Order: sequence, then C-alpha cells, then structure tokens
Amino acid sequence: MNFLRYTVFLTAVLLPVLLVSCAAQRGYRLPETHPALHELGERREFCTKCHGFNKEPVDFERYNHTSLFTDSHRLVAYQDERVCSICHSQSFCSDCHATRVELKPSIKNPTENYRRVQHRGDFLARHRIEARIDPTSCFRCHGNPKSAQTCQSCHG
Amino acid sequence: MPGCCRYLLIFVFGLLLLPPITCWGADLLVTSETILRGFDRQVENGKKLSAVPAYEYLQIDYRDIGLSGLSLHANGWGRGNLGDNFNSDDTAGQLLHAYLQYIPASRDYLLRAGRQYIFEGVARDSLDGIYGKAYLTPAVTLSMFAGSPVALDTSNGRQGDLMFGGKLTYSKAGRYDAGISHKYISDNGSRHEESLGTDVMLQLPGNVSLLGHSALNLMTSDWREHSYELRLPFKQFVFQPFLQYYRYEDYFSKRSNSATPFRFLQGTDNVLTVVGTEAFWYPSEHAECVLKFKNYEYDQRFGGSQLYTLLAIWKWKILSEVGAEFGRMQGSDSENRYYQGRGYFYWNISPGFVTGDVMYVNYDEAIYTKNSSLFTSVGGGVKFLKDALSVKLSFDYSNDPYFDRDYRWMLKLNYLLDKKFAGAARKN
Repeated sequence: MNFLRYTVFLTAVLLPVLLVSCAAQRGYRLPETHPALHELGERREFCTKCHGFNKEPVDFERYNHTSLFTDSHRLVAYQDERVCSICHSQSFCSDCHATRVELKPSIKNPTENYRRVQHRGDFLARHRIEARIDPTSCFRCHGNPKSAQTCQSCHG
Repeated sequence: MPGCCRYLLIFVFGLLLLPPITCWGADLLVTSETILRGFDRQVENGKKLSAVPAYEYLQIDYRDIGLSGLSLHANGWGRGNLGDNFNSDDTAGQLLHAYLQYIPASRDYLLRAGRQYIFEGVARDSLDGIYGKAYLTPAVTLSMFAGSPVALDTSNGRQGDLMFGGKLTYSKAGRYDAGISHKYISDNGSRHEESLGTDVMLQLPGNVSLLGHSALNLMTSDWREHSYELRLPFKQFVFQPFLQYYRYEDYFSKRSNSATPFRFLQGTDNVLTVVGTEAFWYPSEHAECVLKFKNYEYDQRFGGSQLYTLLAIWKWKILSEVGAEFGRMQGSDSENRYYQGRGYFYWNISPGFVTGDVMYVNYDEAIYTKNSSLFTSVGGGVKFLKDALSVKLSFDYSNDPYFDRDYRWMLKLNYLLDKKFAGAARKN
C-alpha cells in the first residue's frame, strides 16, 4: 500500500516537473551515448585526449581515467553520474556496485590488469589489515544486507 | 526467485519477443560473457575437489522500440557447477537490472521503470521502481525515485520495504555545481535508513577545482561523512589533496542484517580522519608517474597509520602498457604493516593480446604463519568475427596465508551482437 501511495505521489510530482521542463529555456544537454566502449578498445581512457581541457560544457579533465581512478572516482560520480553513463552502461558499474555479484571484478576480468582493482592478488589475506585501517571503504559496498552476505559467511 | 523478479523477467523477455518488423529503426545490442573457471577446493580431511563453475552474464540493450527514445536495458548473471558443488548451491543468479527508459529527442528529461541502479548523491542503491530526471531550467536539474529496494529482499521478504528520494542540482557549466540529495528506506514497515547529502564542485582561479560530498544521517541527526578534494594542476603535474572524515556511530549500521564487524564498529564511537594527496606527473604522452600518500587518524582504538604508494606506467603504444608499483602500509601496530610490490604488462598484438601480473606482499606480522604472499597471473586473448567474438584465457598462481601453492584457470568468451534494424542510427 505504501509503495502504491508513494508511486502515485511521485507521479503527481513528476508530471508537473516534466511540463515545466519541456517549457524550460534550452541549455546544453548531454548526449545519451558515447561511441560504445567496445569500439574504444580495452584501456583506461583520458577523456581530454579528444575533448580537450575546456571547462564547458563539461570539465572532462575530472573524468580522466588516471591509474588511481578506480580508487577515487566516487566523488566525480556523485557529482553527475550522467557523464559516466554516456560511456558506461549500468552493467559496467554492476561488476562492483551491484547488490549481489559472485565474481569480484579482479576475478571476472583478470586480463584487464591496467584497471588496478582493489581485490586483486592476496586481498583475502590483506583485507584484515585494510579493514582495520579504513573499514568505511568496506562498508561502502558491503553495507547493505544483500552484499553483506559476502562478509557474513566468515564474520557472522 | 522473488515474485517481482519473475514479473520483471516475463515483462522484459516478452518485449524481446516483439518481432523487429513492428519496430521502426530499432537497434539491438546483446552482450554475452561466458566464463568457465577451474580451481581446487579443499574440504574436510585435507581432501581436494575440483570446482568448475560456469557463469553467463547477459546484457541486452534494445533502442527505439516502437517509439523513438524508448529503450529496454536488461542485465543478469547465472552460475552452474560443472565440477563438484561450489558455495553449497549448485546454481545461483541474479537479475541486476531490467528497465524501460524513455528520453525524448530534446533530452529535456529521462524516465525509467523497472529494476535499476540509482546513483544520485546519497542514493547508491538497486531499486525496483520508477526514476525520473528533468532539466527544470538550464541551471536546475531535479531527479526523483521511488520503489522497493532490492537489497532488502533477503530481510523477511519485501512486504513493507520502500525507498524514495531525489536530488536537486544547481549548476553553471565551468563555474560550479551544487546538489542536495535525500534518501529514505524502510524495511518491513520500519524506518531503516534516511540520509541527506550535499555535493559541490567549485571552479577556482588558476584552473584549481574543489570537489566534495557530505552526508547527514537523519536517524541520528549527525554527520556520517565529509569527503573533499582539491585539484591543482601545474604544468606536467597534478596534485589532488583530500580530506575525509567519518563518524562510525553515524556511518555504520547496527541493524541485525548488517555484518557483525559493522555492527561492532557502530558501537565504538570512533572517528576516522583521512588526509592525503595524490600527485601525478606526466613527463611525456607515454609516461605516468604517481605518488599517493594517506594519513589515517582515529579518535580511539588505533594510533595513526600511513599509506605510501609509488606507481610508474609506460605506454609504448595505444593499447599497450607496462607498470610497476611499490607501496608501504605503516600501521600503528606491526599486525597492520606490510610492503607491497607489483609489476604488470598489457601487450596488444592485434587481433590478440598478452598480459602478465606479479604481486608480492610482505607482512610485518605473519598471518596464519606466513610472512608473505605471491600472486602471479598470465593471460592472453584473440578476437574473431570482426571483433564480435573474443576468447580470453588466463592462469593464476597464489601462495599466501589462505592459498597454499594454488593454481586457477579461466576461459572467457565475449560475444557481441550489434543488430540495427531498418532506419536505425546509433545516437552519439
């Protein structure tokens, strides 16, 4: 019942928003898609190579996939996930961020070693140190009841 | 399988059965990843069994179905065991997303319905429901979502589970972005989580930019997190100093369906402050040198800890690179200290490639009587059928506190079907 109530509420709010939106003054609109990733090849991409260093309409320099981008991409993604979604479909993000994936990204894509993903190598042994030092980095992905099942098999 | 997943699957695959002739300009993209792994599994009495799990990841993107701007996106995975039983279940799987999306030609708004991942400020959750985003004015964007959170279906079913929220963003391209977001989740009818967040980007003089995120736990009325970073480019260098602050009482969860370590940490009343920097040096178009430093300070329990990482990468052609890394985790206690070294290469020899990866870690204090670990991986692949099919094979070796001279292999087949029906044109 709650779900129905909130769905009706959301629809009632969204409809006027869409009408206002349609009448809004036109500004820059992000494209829906970039050339597909498979057309770019397997590599870390520096967006500025093609898009340059202009800050408008999008500051692509922030989205350059540096060698540490896997560690630190969350802040730019929080800012505007639409820029990410131009190139990456939800399935790309799901490899790490889904509610339940059995294969860690380091296992699923072992030959993509340039991505420097967190769980590679001895992480099962090292995670006890990493988790003591900064447990917030574990909770960010393993904090919901479904993804916490990975932890619960050993930790309860 | 939960009822809603069943309905979603029927809905999605029903749509797929629509004959293409009814669609004008439809564009179908099917991505299949078939993975076969092999490794030994040690069971009681030291006996070893061979596990050979087979995985299938399937993604479907079907654009302009019957109506320009309407598209269907679905993705899921499944696993079956060909060798001995693995993870106590013979099979497993999950529908990760399956939604219909509508974006008009003007791209003034976006609507989605179905299972989807919501990524809006404090909301980073999988949802069965609806989502909308619209440009209200050139500077103001509003997004809203509501539905049932997927992550809670293991917690006494989905009755009374609800999630809703949204984000309002005010931005001026090249100057600033400021967003405020909200998320509410109820589990079995009771309030489970509620957060309010802010996101900010500020472009400062000298090409300097500030990026940040703060989150307020509305259940405890205190800050969960502050994360801010500066970006300071200078000639061939880029410096990215950052500050992160976490209050464990407000960040972690003490709910019974949370993992035990997180419930314990929630009660410790600890505060973690991380200060550090990433420094990038690009001496040429082919080279990348990186230094990373992080200092961890705690209100309670541990003394300060430091992480040092030095990384150098050389790209000798467009898809080929070699890298070396050295790192030190200097924890306050010997059990939290280790040295880490890594080297890797990715060599593109079109239509194939070869990869190698070596990682060595030395722990200051032994873990299960082992002071070090060694991981190596070699791999290769080749593409066929105008790059639509790629075959990848890799072998891994591990000798560490958990795996004693352990060998693993993996065969991966990636298949891509990109089918354009009459009148279709890929939007770029």
